[in-house]
Amino acid sequence: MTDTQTRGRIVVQLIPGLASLRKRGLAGWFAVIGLAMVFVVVLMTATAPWISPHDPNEIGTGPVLGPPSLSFPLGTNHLGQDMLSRLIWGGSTMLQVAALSVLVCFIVGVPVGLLTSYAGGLVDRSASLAMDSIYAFPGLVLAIAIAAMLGPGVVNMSLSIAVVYVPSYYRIVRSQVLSIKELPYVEAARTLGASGRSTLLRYILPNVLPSVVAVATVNFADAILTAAGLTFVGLGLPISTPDWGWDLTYGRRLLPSGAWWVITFPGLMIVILALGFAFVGEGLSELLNPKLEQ
Amino acid sequence: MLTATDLKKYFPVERGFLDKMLTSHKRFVHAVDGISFSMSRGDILGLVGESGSGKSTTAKLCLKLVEPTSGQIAFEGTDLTALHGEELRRFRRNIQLIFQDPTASLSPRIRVGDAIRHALSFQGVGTPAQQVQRTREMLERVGLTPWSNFYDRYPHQLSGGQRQRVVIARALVLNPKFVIADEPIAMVDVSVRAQILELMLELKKEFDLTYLFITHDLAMANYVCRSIAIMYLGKILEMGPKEEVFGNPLHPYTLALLSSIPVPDPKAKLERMIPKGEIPSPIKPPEGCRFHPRCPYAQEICSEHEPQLEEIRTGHRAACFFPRM
Amino acid sequence: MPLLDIQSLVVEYHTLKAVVRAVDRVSLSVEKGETLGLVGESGCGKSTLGLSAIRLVPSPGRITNGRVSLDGTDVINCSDEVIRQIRGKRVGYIFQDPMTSLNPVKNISAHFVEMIQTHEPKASSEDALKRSQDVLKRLGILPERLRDFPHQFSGGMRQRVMIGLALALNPDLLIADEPTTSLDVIVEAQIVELLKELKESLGLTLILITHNIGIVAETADRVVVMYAGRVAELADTDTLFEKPRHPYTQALLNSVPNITKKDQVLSWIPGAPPDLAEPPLGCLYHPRCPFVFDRCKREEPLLTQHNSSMVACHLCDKR
Repeated sequence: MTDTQTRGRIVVQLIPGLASLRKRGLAGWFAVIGLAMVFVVVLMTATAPWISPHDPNEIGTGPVLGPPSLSFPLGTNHLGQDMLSRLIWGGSTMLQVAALSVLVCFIVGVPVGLLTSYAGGLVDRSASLAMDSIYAFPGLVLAIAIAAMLGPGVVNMSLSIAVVYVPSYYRIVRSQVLSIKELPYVEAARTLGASGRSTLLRYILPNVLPSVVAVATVNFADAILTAAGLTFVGLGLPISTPDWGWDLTYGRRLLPSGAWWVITFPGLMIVILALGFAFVGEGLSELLNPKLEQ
Repeated sequence: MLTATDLKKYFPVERGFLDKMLTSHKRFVHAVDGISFSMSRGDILGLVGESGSGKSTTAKLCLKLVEPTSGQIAFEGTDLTALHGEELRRFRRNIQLIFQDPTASLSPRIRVGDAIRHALSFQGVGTPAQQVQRTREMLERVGLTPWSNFYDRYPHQLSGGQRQRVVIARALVLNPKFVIADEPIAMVDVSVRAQILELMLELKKEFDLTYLFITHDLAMANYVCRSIAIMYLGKILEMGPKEEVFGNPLHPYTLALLSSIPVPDPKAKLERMIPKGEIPSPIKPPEGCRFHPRCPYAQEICSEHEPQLEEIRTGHRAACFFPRM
Repeated sequence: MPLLDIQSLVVEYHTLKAVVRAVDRVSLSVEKGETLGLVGESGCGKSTLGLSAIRLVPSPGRITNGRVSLDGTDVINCSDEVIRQIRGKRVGYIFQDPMTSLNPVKNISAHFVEMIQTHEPKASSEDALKRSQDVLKRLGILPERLRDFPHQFSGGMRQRVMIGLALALNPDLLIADEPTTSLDVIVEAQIVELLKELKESLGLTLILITHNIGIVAETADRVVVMYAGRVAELADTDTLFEKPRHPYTQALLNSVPNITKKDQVLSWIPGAPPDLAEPPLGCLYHPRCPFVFDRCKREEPLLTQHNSSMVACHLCDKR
């Protein structure tokens, strides 16, 4: 079987796994609820062009700082923009940034982790040291620093978040590889004459992936929060993009004047999305553990 | 076919930070401490010993899964110590290993048929279609018929005995000449063990194999092996044909082992010669004869000089100053 | 009255997929001073049975039926207080793996003192210590070693410590679950000799749970053979080995190598033990039995007396 086929197989195995979620008790419920939450938010964001009642950017759609009413269920902000429309559109950037950052983390963290920890010795030590240094930084601070350097934009935001989280992926891959490396079946592969590449790809990687997937989903939640944090601080996105993070910033400032609706709803959405991914991650990490077969 | 000459393997003992700073004295686990033996084609040698005897390490040395600290292993003339990298990888076709734990030696995410086929693909044998065909034949040969019932299964879907057969199939699909079996039935149910052993013996005839059995189970070794080598703390204490070693044991340790095995017969009269104490640490093995602190027949010379493996009867060697004749 | 009396015990594991009967209507009794060997392969329910005697079946396992009576006390229905008194004081239990059964951060004397003081709060530390030293001396462990930690002991020594802990409070009954499985041959023999000696000197009542037929032959007075959660055969040791009546017992005995027998031919049992989540009808052994006939597939054989053995087999009824 070629490596593509192996990867295909892995994905295919995950899908029936999802189907049997219901049967797995509490962990299954967590995953299902989480998935539902995420799905609702993603659906909302994806259908934004159709379901959004107003243009989220149009200034003066409604009254300035209008409280929730029939015509504007979630109220309006200081620019008269409809909060509901902003809510519906606002998730899109957030999801894009989070998704992109997770992708980058995967593409960088997993191979580096695999190769360096399999190689061992000095290579492993150096990589570990580098990753630990990044890991030691408080996440948001580092993201801010990098975002400030890179400038605004979805891609740049994703990159700054990715840098912060790559060590998490690296670490889980490394700890898994170190323990799997010593297992009899890896030794068996070596006795059969497997090359290092084959051993890594066919024997170690498939057994490492489930944990990485679990970390990735929880990481998604983290990434969303960090992305919100970045826009909250004013970095990352141009002001014309509707984004929950912006609404949080302005909502905060508007709070003293009594306009509670500006900050509340976007904040709630962020929490729901982050929680949703966290639930999925928790549920998945339990489910993908083959020992649960008991 | 296989000759080991004065093979040694020492593993360094991990030292704490303070230890490293304050002392320069390194400590080693003397896993294998100078053993020599040879096997001819068609032999079935049982390497028998308790924990710490070095038998598993010897197996790994023969496969070059670990590098010897000193000494040599030659397989059909080729010096294993000189083989590296790609050459070594190709050479692995000739010597294969049957593992102790059938569950742990199969990747839980690889289907059983693929696990066997990988052996062929790693060595670049045949086209993928031929590999699949050969795998199917192998599955049937080890008794997992029809192959279609088993090829696509995952290890956890099979019983322990079936898993062990997959491991055997995987080891033999490359047609190795030499097979090392490390406790092949220890983790298989009692009532199925003989089946695995019979399978291994049949396959030996069919493929003209030579076996090295690593085990602590003397009864099993007696059943299956032709020659026996008794290991203790990294040394071979007695070696010879099975009938001799088990029938007329020379070394007190062999006697101790034989008298310790539980016999499934309540009427059997047991004359126990159980040595006192436990196996000493392989980090600091006893001076002189390794067994002397526990030997009921030990004399002064045993603590001062180490007896060499010498031929006491024809073909039957023992490392003891006072072999029990 | 027997010391331990088990009547029609049923222990079920409620998993998400199915209900598995690990122990299916097992009845047996142990008299004071006797050594009962509980023999079977992995998954036959012997460990679960042992744990039921002190109500320690791990969840999702549950005792769903039957009675367990220890010298008159109902083990299943008694209060938590009573069962805690039973565990350790009236029944000593030796678990399978001495590596993980001892607390790595406590030294051995701490283990003993805790054990003794839990059951006898009035006992002073010095008294507890003295008693543990006595027990360990009997087991061949020097009193100085009481200060050492579990990792400083070898496997065999740790097992002796476990035996010592089990005996510390002079229990009436000792249950040993695979006490020698993880040990080397010679150490195993040492432990077996020790158990035999304790049996003599203390008049110990012992239930020995194991898959090793050899040590059962050596130490047990009576043997119970279990298969797939049920009792296949029950007899005294000599009778069982000389005249095994159940086909499973016969096959099992024929599959164990005996180094004293010349030119032995080993046999084996084809197939595998049944999936207890979906057990076959009738006799659980019938799919693998060479003597199977029609009745075996329909009707479950009951444990009945045949000469001096109890056997659950239709074949014996025929004769």
